[in-house]
Amino acid sequence: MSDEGLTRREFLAAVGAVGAVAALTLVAKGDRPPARSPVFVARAEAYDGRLIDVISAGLVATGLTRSAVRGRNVLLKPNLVEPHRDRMHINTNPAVVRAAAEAFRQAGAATVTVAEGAGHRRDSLLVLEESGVGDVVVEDRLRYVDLNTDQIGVLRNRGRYTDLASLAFPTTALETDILVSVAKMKTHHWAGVTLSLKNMFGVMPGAVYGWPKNVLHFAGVERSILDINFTKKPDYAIIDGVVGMQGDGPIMGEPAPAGVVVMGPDPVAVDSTAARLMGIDPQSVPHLSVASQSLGRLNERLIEQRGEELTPLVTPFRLVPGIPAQDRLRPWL
Amino acid sequence: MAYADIRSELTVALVERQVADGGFGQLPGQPSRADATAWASTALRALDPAGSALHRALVRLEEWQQTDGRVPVEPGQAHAVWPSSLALTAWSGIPEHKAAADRTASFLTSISGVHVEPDPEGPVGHDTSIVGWAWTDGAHSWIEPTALGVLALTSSGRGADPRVDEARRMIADRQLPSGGWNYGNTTVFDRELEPTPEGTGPGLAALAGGAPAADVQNSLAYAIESWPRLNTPIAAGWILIGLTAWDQRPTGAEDSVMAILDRSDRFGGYTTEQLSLLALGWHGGMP
Repeated sequence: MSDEGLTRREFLAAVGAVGAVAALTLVAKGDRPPARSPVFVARAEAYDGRLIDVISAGLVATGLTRSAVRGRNVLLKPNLVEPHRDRMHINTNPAVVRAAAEAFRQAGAATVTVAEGAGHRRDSLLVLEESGVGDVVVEDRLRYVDLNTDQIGVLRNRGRYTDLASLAFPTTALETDILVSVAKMKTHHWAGVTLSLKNMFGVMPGAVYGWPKNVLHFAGVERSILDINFTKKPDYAIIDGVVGMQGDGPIMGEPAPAGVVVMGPDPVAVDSTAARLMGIDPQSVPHLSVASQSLGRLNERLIEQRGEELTPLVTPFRLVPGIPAQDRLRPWL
Repeated sequence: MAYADIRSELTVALVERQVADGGFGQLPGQPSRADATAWASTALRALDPAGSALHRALVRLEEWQQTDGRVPVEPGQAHAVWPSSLALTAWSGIPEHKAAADRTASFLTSISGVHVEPDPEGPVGHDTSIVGWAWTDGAHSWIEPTALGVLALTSSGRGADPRVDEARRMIADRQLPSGGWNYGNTTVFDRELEPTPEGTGPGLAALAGGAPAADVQNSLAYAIESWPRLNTPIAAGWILIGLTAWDQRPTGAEDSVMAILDRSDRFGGYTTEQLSLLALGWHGGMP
């Protein structure tokens, strides 16, 4: 035991950002999820201008119509982990950010803000520049906010899967009308997958939680994902699966050209659908399994599939044997 | 641009955002907060040590200090203790702030975070038993807060404290085999991670004077190689601090600092932290 009462396993997990997955026996809590959740799946094999039409169609298909967007302030939260111009499969592609911004503008959004609180990197502007998203922000005249150093608002922890009584959020995220998690479709060596729910980790301010969000890692990655999303659930989720990441994600993995965009208002349903497209059982992802009990829908029968058929688009992402969080993802093997 | 002009530009850029209560917010118009004020105070010690803006900021910083000496980001986030090192640096050597500095130094040497004996079968490659400083009380040690702790204790005349020596050992242990540092992990599941400029600068700065040059050759090479492509204040500031500490300051650094300052409107203006680190990079280290 350490002097803080953690077991060695828990400590090493926290250092490396592992959730204490084996101990994740969680009780569902929170509000009743929607009866059925629409999820839009589109084939998208290139990062080009057609993505605007794809995302616009997806917004309408999942009920986010002009009347729901008009006059609203929209915050796009991409997944910008590590900036590498030559490895664009690490981060949400700038073309997806651009397309989402334009789609919301065309739907009548009053403002569109791009905001991120990079987990590993202290230099948020370097992340922005080298990810390519910086050019989009400048060229498309979007507002940018560094969530790591933003002003703070404190909310009661509505999940309580961790021991944290409250959670500090950036006020920009709390005050926006429509918070959109614009995630990347990736495997993850600690959480199994990182999709729209895990992407919300990046909302939490580094100034309060450290880099890489140490407090939340010590509290348990899976548990923290649940707490964050139970307390401040994104209003909409868009997943960039045009080229995702497989293997040793979220940084060291290799490109996975899945050729899809997945989106919808229920992040659990969107993530569960994305997991299926990755050849992964969403029920085997602890935070999805628990979230499905009261935060959103995981069961295929409760997801209204719109857009493309799922089966022809399934691209089994490579998993790394020996990484515990990934070993469990295909229970049928 | 002349040396004095750069100092003036950086000073004005900081001072004009000072809040009426003497503190600094991260952006103009925001209320003051301890982390932004601690960064600005440290930078103003280097830029304008006799100025009234510094005096007011240091007084404001004392108002955030808690009884045990910590200076958290916000009073309601008492675990977020990392600004304490910056506060100590800013107060050091100023008689009217000696008591505050002593309290914070005692606090820094009293906290150790969470550490355990390393597990050869574990997923991470570093020695998890060596103690530095964490961003947040009760967490593990990482590179930048540890470097800030080393620099603060050293600048306040406490460089011989055993915690400084251990912190340097911790930083040395976290150096990537290929050179440089990131936030503080070396390998995860046997894969070597990659360095970052903003991790490498603090690592170099903290080891200067406490390790032989041969121990950091790969890291210096990474920093030198990185420098020409850096155009953002935190990365550039830290790399300049790190390289200057090893007498490897790149030529033309002042022009680069001005070029970066001129880019500040690209994303709506720099935060106080970003401006301060750019200023400290121009200065070549902590005051």
